[in-house]
Amino acid sequence: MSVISIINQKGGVAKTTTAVNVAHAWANKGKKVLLIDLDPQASATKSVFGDREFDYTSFDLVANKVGVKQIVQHSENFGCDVIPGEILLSGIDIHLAAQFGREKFLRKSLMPIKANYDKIIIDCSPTLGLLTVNALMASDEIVIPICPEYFSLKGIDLILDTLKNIRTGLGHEVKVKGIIITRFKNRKVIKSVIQEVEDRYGLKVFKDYIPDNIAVEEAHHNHLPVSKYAPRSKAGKAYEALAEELIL
Amino acid sequence: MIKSNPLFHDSTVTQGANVQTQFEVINLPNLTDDKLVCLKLTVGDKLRFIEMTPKQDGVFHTSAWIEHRKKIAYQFFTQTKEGELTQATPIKEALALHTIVEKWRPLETDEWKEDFRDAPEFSAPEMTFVEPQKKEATEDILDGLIDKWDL
Repeated sequence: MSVISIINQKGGVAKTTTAVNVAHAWANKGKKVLLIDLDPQASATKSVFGDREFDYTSFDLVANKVGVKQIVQHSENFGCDVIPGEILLSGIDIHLAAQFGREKFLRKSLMPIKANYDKIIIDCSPTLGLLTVNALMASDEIVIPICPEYFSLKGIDLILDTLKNIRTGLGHEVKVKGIIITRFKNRKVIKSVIQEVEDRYGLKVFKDYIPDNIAVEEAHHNHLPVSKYAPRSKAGKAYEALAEELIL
Repeated sequence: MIKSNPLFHDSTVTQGANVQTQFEVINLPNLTDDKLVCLKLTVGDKLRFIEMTPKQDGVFHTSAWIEHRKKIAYQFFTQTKEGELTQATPIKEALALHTIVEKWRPLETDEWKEDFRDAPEFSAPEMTFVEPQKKEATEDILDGLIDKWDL
């Protein structure tokens, strides 16, 4: 069992698309998967369930208001369990700030069900606050999606610095599993980005790049994984291959 | 003043509590067998010298129980088994948290060796090895409470 967070403080790098499609690909391979939407924009929840509303969400999980078993939903389309997100998550830092153990609430709340899953995948909030700290404290490893056209080394520095602070201040070590190239258009740009990432940080870059593809947006609107919506699309095949690479 | 981001403060450690601080020095070049990697640690007015152990390639580590968020000064150095000081990183100040990681970037001059000769605690080649304090076992604490409150 491992908990993996998809993280990048930069928006528009296909965090949610990566989380939902990798979750589906793993479930499709027979793994028991739980997807947690920890983003106040709840894009993963909308992608999986549309505009459906839920009595309990990841807000209640992190705030420790109800037991995790009451929050978990199942998606037939994606073949995995999901803990939905909601806009209330944007105010959770205020709720948590003065509480004892505020940084470990998610980790603690997941304990009763962790053993039921092979993989737990967290779609993180794009902001750095207690919500992201909770995600990282619950995670064994992270993957960082980056869009090469808008790539910045400062963004990677910020994530690595956050991991260092988690280890130094909170005593928890999170591994960087690697970098995922998303929404790529131009191979020349990718080459220079990979060179920079490998030279400067020594991080692994997954070899299955995710192309910028209209099928991804259409799949979102149809609440389907891209490999189900458009099985022959380049993005669908790329996500299948990436999920294989990530599971190792 | 040493600053630390309040977002990463461990809310479960109460003020004055001791935590086992891990010290790690990374990016060390290959050392010959006769070299020891050590930590010079100052907590308050107490000075300790602790031998470090290899963790993985180029990484040495050790730990010490220190009052959480107490101001400390530390320096990593190497010496031969015969006690000859060889290289050292600059002295750094920090707050004692869970982990302190430092890259091996040795000083280029030998002036730092003077500080060691002035330190009475340092007596090469034998060093003062400090065993981490043992935490009272949870069972012992529970037994104590059960006796105290006659539960």
